[in-house]
Amino acid sequence: MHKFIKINTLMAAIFFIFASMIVISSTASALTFSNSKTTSSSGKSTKNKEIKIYDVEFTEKVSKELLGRIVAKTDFDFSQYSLRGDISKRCSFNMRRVEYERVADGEVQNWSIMEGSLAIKDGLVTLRKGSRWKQGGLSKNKDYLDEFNVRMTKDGHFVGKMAFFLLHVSPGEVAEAPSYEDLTKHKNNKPFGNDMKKAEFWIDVEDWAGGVMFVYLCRDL
Amino acid sequence: MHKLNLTRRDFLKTTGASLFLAGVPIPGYTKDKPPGTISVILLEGGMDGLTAVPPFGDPDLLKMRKIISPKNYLKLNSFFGLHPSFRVLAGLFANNQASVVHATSIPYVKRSHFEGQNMMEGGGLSPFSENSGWLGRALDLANTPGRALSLDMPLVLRGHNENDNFYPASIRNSSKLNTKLIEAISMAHAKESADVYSKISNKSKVDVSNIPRDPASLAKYAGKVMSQDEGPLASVIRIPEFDTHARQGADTGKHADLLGIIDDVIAGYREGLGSAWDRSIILTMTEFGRTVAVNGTTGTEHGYGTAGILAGGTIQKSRIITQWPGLSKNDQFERRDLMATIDYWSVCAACIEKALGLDHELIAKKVFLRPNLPRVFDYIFS
Repeated sequence: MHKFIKINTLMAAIFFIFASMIVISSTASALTFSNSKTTSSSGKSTKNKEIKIYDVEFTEKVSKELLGRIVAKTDFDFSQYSLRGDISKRCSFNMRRVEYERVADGEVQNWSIMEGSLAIKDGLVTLRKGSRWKQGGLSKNKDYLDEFNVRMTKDGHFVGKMAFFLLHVSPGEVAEAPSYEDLTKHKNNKPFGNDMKKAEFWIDVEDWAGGVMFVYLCRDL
Repeated sequence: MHKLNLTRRDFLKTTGASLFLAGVPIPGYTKDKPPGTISVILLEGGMDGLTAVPPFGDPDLLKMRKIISPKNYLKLNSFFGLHPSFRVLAGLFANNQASVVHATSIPYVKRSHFEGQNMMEGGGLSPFSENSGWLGRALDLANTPGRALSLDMPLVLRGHNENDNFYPASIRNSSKLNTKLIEAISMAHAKESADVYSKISNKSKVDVSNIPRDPASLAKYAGKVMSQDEGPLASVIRIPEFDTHARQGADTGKHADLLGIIDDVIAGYREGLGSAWDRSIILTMTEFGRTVAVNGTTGTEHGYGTAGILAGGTIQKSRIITQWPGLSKNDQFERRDLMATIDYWSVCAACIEKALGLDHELIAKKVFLRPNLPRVFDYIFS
């Protein structure tokens, strides 16, 4: 009996030592796990051991399309127009809103949303000091007068792109950024004639409204 | 009848963002004007870096989160893509003016917005350990006392005593104080009191009625102001609501809309800064990322590692900078989050070094209180 207990005790001790070894080796594996190379279920390793730089690479076609997204808001392609370069004039102007809700050809409202004077020199049209938007809100910020990229064509049209405030914002209302609208050879335009006395330029903004720029009292700069 | 074409994205654009400006050089006090400008976009709630810049080259990405992974991403290289909401940022990548640091985070792992946002701004060794912010301390070191434009002084900009506040209210006539009366009061007081009244008088002359509230317009305004010779050197824009626990979306949806707002902000800065863009750096920050796996409501939970987006003319070559940890369960932090292998304070330190011209060791010790902070400047700006 005594011998039997001794053998059992010895076997239990051996079993205990063996079990402990298994536990210790499992723990060791867990401790070393984070240092081992990791593999995904597909067998490919994705883990880096140091900081790597992955350069960004695009094809020429993709690069060209992407670069086109960071042009300025008033960028305009003038290459399709024949521009006039020999004029040097200053004119007064005012802009009125035109609405298409009741009349298909548009109803020009009888108040101005923008007014001032402009200069036409070497074909470039710029807004002169004293010009202003009258739509409240952000339109009072004179920086938006710089967002006016317009030129005159040989046949007397104004073409280009400008910041445009279609809606009036009252004090206390949330200020809204302008939209950027194209000036084109609109079908309703009355371009300058040879006498360079006056002109009318229509701007489409929304399907229900746009603007008309009346330019008049032109004289030499 | 006006047609109201208000998209969800337009609505998001008008909610919640705020702008802070600081770091105005003072003639006679600021000896050497720092070389550039730094703008921080704080993304509150936890931006999902794996959605913003999906590592499509990792085979575990779709296994873990197919339903919220964008499909129409732009391939930046053989491993990483860019979410389709980043339209302008994609252009900047093509122009070598944007980069991403991926699998990164500030060293905060407890996933609390409250603590995480405090630490994101404080830059301390633990949440609520600092009364000043990392950017404010950096501006102090650069001797550029701040003038913040905000209702309250945000922690991130707190530092020098000269910092003060001014909120651009749009309440009618709120900016039209009687400055002559204030000037008269100022003359009747001793120096320090006179300074206070003088400041109020100067502030009241600033026309703030035209400062817009949507994030992109705030960024454009900030850029314009920062581009001026004596303008502020630092700005912070806060964008909230990144905490998408449910219906996160993929190519479109909640998180996509918010990524689009980041894109609008970066575009706004670029437009406003003009030529000053060439000496600027813009970086995003968020308190933590989001879990790798999708939850039961097609959203994600608070996580750890995320991505930091950098943009600006100071970047020479577009790249993704990362020590990619992998996305398998065993590679995740606590078997749930993207592991962060780059300390984002190193990235912030590099941006401060570039914009404010300070030495890395000084930044590490005095701004981030970590003398051994690794330097990653060359990875980003070389």
